[in-house]
Amino acid sequence: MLHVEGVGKRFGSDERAVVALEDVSLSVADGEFAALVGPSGCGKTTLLNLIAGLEDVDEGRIVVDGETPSAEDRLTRFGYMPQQDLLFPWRTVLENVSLGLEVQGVPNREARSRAAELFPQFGLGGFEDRRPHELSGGMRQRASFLRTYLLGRPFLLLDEPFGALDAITRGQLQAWLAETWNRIGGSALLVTHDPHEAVALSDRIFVMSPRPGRIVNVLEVDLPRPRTARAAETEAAHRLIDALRHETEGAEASS
Amino acid sequence: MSARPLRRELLVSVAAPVGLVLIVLVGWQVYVWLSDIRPQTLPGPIRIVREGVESAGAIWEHSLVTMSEVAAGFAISIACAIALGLIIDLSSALRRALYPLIVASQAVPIPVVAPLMIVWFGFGVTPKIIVIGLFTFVPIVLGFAAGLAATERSATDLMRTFGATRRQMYRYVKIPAALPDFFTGLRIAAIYAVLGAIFGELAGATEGLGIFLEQSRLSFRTDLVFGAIFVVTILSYALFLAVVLLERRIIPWRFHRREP
Repeated sequence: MLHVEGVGKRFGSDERAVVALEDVSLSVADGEFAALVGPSGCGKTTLLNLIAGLEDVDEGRIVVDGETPSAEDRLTRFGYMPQQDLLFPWRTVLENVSLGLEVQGVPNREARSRAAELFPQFGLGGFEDRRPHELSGGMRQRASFLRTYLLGRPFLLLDEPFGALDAITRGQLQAWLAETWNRIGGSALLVTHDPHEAVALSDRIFVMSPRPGRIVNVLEVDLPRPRTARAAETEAAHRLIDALRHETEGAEASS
Repeated sequence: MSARPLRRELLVSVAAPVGLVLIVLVGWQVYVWLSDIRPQTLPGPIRIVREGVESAGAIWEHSLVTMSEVAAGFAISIACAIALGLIIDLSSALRRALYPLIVASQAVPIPVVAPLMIVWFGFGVTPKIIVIGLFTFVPIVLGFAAGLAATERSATDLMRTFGATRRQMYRYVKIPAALPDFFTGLRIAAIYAVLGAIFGELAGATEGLGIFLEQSRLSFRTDLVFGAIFVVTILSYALFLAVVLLERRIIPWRFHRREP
């Protein structure tokens, strides 16, 4: 269970400081897939970085499973997936995917065999010994997701994981993630500016306003689980997507 | 792109400099023939090659001395540069303290300081190693430190969420990410390493290409001076090529095209 309570964040000092987030509160229950939607520059990535412990809050607190861990302690509580794939060119795909485990002290051989076992499921079978530049953009994102998933942390923080992909690949990966999620379960908070992506994947959507970022609305996504690749093609889903588009555009217009 | 234009490109990139050198050599030789200039003043290429081959044994002996100085000096310079680069990256206080000194060391007129080295350290190999170091370590340190500092924030952030220690951060991400900039510095340094050894020898030595150069000059063997200069050039270029080949082996990804 994640509670964000009255969190604020400023960048810079005193008079010239920019208020990135103001009094942000949200909760994500165990097993829930939540999305954070808003126009670019609204601070949604900042909020994700605060939760991940990459930065410290200026105000408010972040409660995880009833505790209030420091930023340092939060770093290893969540499975964090960055926007760029960040697969390192000096490692093979398999070595990249097992890196998180290796850093955590799992012996190399074990880390690699645990990673290799999941390659077929993640559509990466046969690419273990390739270099990242030999993979397509979609495959690289799946490898990056697998690297995060392998950490075994039950709560994932996904920072616009498909933002850099072309529209077709993005659609495919959204469908793939929806189906993968049925299998692996867990909790997640997804940052995105794509209403379709938010509706297709999540149970609950937090809508943010432009700077200073605040939560201006919460939408429940009442689509059946398990989600299929077509989940966002129904009438109900379209109504939600339209509503969400209206929300975010309205938020942008009022700034 | 097919193989043919690629091979043509390669041919042009080799043929162009070789052709230019040939033209210069022929012009030089023709001038020497026509002007009747004294060989002590300007020997022709044919004489330089002939006399050089005649003295090949001596040149080889002196080259071996110089090459061993270069090997020791360059290796120690690289080791110090790596250590210093890491120190600079680890501590901003030390960076502020050391950076101006490192840059200033490059402005030291080394030929003037080299004789002092002889006074301090004698005629052995130590002053040569120090002079080679002074010539080469600055580009390596600056390249390596710049590479370490330029590691992407998002990459180190990801490692932090893995729970990486500082040591792991360097081992898995920062050092590999810094290698391309490190090699850029290393290539520049390689060009100056042999020159450093020559200056070290000129300040005081009994053997080495610098000594051979100086002796040839003092005995008006201008042809052998040119021969030695040619060998120094070849050695420098060979070291540079060795670094380039090593770079291709160690960081092949630098040469990959990243597809969309």
